[in-house]
Amino acid sequence: MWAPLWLSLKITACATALVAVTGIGLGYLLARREFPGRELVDAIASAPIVMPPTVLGYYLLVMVGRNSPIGRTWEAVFGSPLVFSWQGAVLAASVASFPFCLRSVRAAVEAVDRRYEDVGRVMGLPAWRVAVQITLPLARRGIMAGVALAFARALGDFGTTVMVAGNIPGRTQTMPIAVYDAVQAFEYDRAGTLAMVLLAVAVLVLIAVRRLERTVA
Amino acid sequence: MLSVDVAKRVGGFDLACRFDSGPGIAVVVGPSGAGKSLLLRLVAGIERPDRGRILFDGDPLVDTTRGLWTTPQDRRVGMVFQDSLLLPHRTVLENVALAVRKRKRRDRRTDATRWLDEVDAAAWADRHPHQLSGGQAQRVALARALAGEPRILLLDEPFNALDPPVRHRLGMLVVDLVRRWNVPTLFVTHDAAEAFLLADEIHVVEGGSVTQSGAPGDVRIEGPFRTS
Repeated sequence: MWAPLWLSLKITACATALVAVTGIGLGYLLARREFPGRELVDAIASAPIVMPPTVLGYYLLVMVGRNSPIGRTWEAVFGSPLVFSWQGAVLAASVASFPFCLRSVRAAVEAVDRRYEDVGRVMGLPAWRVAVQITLPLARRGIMAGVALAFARALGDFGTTVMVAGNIPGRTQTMPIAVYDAVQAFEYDRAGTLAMVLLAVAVLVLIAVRRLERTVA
Repeated sequence: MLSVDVAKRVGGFDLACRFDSGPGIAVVVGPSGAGKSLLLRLVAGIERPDRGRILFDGDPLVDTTRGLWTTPQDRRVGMVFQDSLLLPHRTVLENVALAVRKRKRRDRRTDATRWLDEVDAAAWADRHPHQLSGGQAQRVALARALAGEPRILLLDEPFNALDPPVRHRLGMLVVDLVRRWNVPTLFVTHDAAEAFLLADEIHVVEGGSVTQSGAPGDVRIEGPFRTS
């Protein structure tokens, strides 16, 4: 009962942190920097939205499996395979939730009045300080919404995680997978309890995010 | 001091301006759509000219024939726009402190307080921009522009949105600050009366080019501008 919840929270927290950092970085670059292949990068990073989670999981499994270059490198460095580990579940949840954060950040940054950035540059701020001290704070509401969406998506991921990390109780069995497992075993009471806890956690986090948004707005 | 000879095409609009301005307040006056703001943006380095050069004290800010370009960060200009464009997530003091070119946070805050004092805005230091009136916000924007100790001050219709009495007071404040801090200033307006009130010299811009330049006594503006 508590093992899947703890595991889900750990995996979701790691995935959300990873997605927030990379999503804000790439979202900013897509919105504000011209570079060749910009729209292609956006399309590839956003593809998980339109892919069935199991298909996305299949591709990830191929990319980071034990015989792939990435998988072999991981195993050489950390001594155990990336697939069928909780780190593999973090990867799955991250890739599945990344585009939600990315799109939200990109749209929020694009909506920032460029004249604020002009003011910053004229003031003498280097480009990175204009981004960190002016653009991103002005886009913070959209950024927070994106991170919250990514959190929700990561917490609820089933298909991608089960493909990449499997269903190993105590190691990779997250809440959504545990619910599925319980139903398969006709343990409807257990499934109901797990589902209720998962729902409560999700709602609590979204309320907390709402509060946070209001205090910094 | 400032020597401008630039051309730029934006959309279907052609700007081709040439003028020199000295110390004090040089007012760039003309109808809206004449290219005055674009001119300031070129001096600030927010836009690049298609060709031409802008020199300040002989030092090229941009020169397309020699391929020279000084970034806006290195030009040391202070700029005030029609909207104050104060950062809403920072207090008044923090807004001004951001523009102070000093390393230590405490030095930046000390300087910012001093600049707020200069524009009689010290009382609002801890407020957020949304708690200020339009005139108060422009005072703070002025303090922020000066806090970087600019070599040139660029004012783009800074008091347009304000009531006449406030506008007059702030105009006088600018005259006073420019005299005391001896910072050459380009002041853009479409209001001929404001131009004659503030100017040490006037440059009339119409349809993308400078049609008259001179002391206020030597420039004639017939009636209000037609908007092009």
